[in-house]
Amino acid sequence: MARVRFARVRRLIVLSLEVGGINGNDSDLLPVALDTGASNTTIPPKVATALGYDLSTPKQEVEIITGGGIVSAKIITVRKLTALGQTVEDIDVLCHDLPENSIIDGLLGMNFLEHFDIDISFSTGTIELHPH
Amino acid sequence: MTNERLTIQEIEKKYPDEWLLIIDCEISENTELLSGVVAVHSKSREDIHDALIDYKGQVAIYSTREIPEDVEYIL
Repeated sequence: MARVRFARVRRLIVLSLEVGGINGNDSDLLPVALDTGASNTTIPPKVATALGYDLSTPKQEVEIITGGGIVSAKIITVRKLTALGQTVEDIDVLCHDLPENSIIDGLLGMNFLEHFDIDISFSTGTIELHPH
Repeated sequence: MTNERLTIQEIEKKYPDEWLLIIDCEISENTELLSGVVAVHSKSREDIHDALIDYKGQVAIYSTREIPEDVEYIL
């Protein structure tokens, strides 16, 4: 079990997400919001490219529904994602930029979170993760 | 770039309301950024994304921006 403190920025739960590069040496740590309403974890396309992933041959191209309308985005499989001290390997991410004036760079979505049972305590500002 | 290692609290104080590219990161076992060296800082997140390609190894993107009072998130 991992108990992790989280930052509350207004009513967002902001965490660090580490995205593993296509080779084992590179990784980027991003500020993301925990989002149980997002089906997929989301990272910026330029982060994926800098980590060596080829967006010209995505696993899938999808339309995503955002507050600003429907846009096209690419899904790729990254080597690993680590957040809250827990790692999930060979996991899909959606490559999509959040608006420029955002204070976060991505979303930690359900395809990561569903690997764990999660207890969120707003009174202590902590999250507990329990692997299944 | 000054090569000065700063804690995340020092970074937030020194670079308010910016996007940062941080190298030589110290990360806790719970994936929290504890300290590092600020390599690039900008008001624009796009500048940080563009600079990423020049840095290999473990790097971190960090925001010290605050959500304006008249902005709400619907994710």
